[in-house]
Amino acid sequence: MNLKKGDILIILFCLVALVLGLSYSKFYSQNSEKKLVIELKGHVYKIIDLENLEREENIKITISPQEYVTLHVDKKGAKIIQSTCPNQICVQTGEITKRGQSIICLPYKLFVYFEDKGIEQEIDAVSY
Amino acid sequence: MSNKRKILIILVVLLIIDFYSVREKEPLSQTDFLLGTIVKISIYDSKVDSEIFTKVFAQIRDIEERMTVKKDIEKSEIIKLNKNAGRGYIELSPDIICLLEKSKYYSDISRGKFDITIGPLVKLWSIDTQEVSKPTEEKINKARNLVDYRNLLIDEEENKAFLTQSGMEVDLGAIAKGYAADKTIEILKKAGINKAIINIGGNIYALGEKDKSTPWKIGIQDPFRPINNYLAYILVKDKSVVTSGSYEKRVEIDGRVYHHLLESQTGYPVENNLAAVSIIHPSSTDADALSTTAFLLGLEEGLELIESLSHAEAIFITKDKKIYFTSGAKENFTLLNEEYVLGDYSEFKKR
Repeated sequence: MNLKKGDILIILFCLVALVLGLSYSKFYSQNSEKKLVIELKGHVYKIIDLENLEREENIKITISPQEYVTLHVDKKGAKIIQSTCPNQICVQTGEITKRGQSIICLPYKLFVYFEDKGIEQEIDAVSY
Repeated sequence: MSNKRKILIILVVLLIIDFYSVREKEPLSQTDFLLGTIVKISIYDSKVDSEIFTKVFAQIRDIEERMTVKKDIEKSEIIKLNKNAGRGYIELSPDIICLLEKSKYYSDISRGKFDITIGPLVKLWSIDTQEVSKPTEEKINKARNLVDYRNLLIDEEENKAFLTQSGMEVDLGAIAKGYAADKTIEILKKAGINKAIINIGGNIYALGEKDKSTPWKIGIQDPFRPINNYLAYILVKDKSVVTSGSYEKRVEIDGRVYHHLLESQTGYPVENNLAAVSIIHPSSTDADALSTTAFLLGLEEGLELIESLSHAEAIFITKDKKIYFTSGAKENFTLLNEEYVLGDYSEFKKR
């Protein structure tokens, strides 16, 4: 086999791209583990990158003039600390810290979860 | 072909696989709040027109509006049926007649443990609306006496139904979510979609398989931990997985916890040694009705019933953390939580 300088360059380029591609998916999966998505009534309300959060924060999500939910977020995770909803299930859910976990407030149609795009999940859905 | 070329071709192929391996895992998903729960549709086919979500959610909303008993919606045929109890037959859509027929069938084979006319008791306990007070004994008895599926008369030819006693109420809460999942699958298939996961408040339908010869992995909820913590998974293809558990829809009254699976004979939430039952079935409507039915029947009778049905498989989880299967469910099951042990159904049959 007679390799020229150009051939070696192409092969090197391909190898680098290959490694980058693989590590990208891995890096991305680790990184997006801490992307918190807040959806209200089926639409994205806010996305928070917890990893790059400067300090812990309380986010007030207004449902109507009298109704609201207070979501506490820090680098570790998120929890609803206060809600004017009738059943308080969202408050009882407690803190979520891992992908796959979510907080749902059915009366207010609020859905808080970690983004899981690009991650090889162990499972595809949970039956509950 | 020179060796050079071969190496290049191999590298390019690897690159393509590389990029696809990142992309293929990302389904197109949308969530909405319908049927009193959260609905998530995830489509894994590469070419998807996002119009399909609008279509699917509109269909589920239509089912909700026609079948609800909770909101006073004029469109609700079930409210109309209930309001006409004791008065006479009323005309209903063919699909509702079908669902009522199916519900009566499950009421029949469970000898009334599952009862589609459970409405008055559901309302009384109002576990969905979290009104926190225990109904009085007198009220429970009164409601209990109204529950009897045999007093729901159906005229299939004329698409009419009639509740013979005034005060009787049909409640499709144990079957409507399953029906919505089946109708969603119909729409998706018509649109040429072959790979999707429908999640209606934990009722799952896994359409097709994830990849060629890779089935879907569906987690089974750990009944003693928060939602989305699973103790095992099962492999499925073109199947629905529906779970009923006493951990769902609970209400605490004076320090006692009551769940939503009501027994028509006593008028109280059923008490047995089960924590949860999951049904695997090609029809989500059947899986939905059967999960409630099997839970109410309890471990032994529940297992016996599911084993006798040709397309159904089941996983039973007891309060003492034992897992029992029907014969076809075991091979596709992987336990992840070591606190649980596998019970032996065959031994159990001999008793």
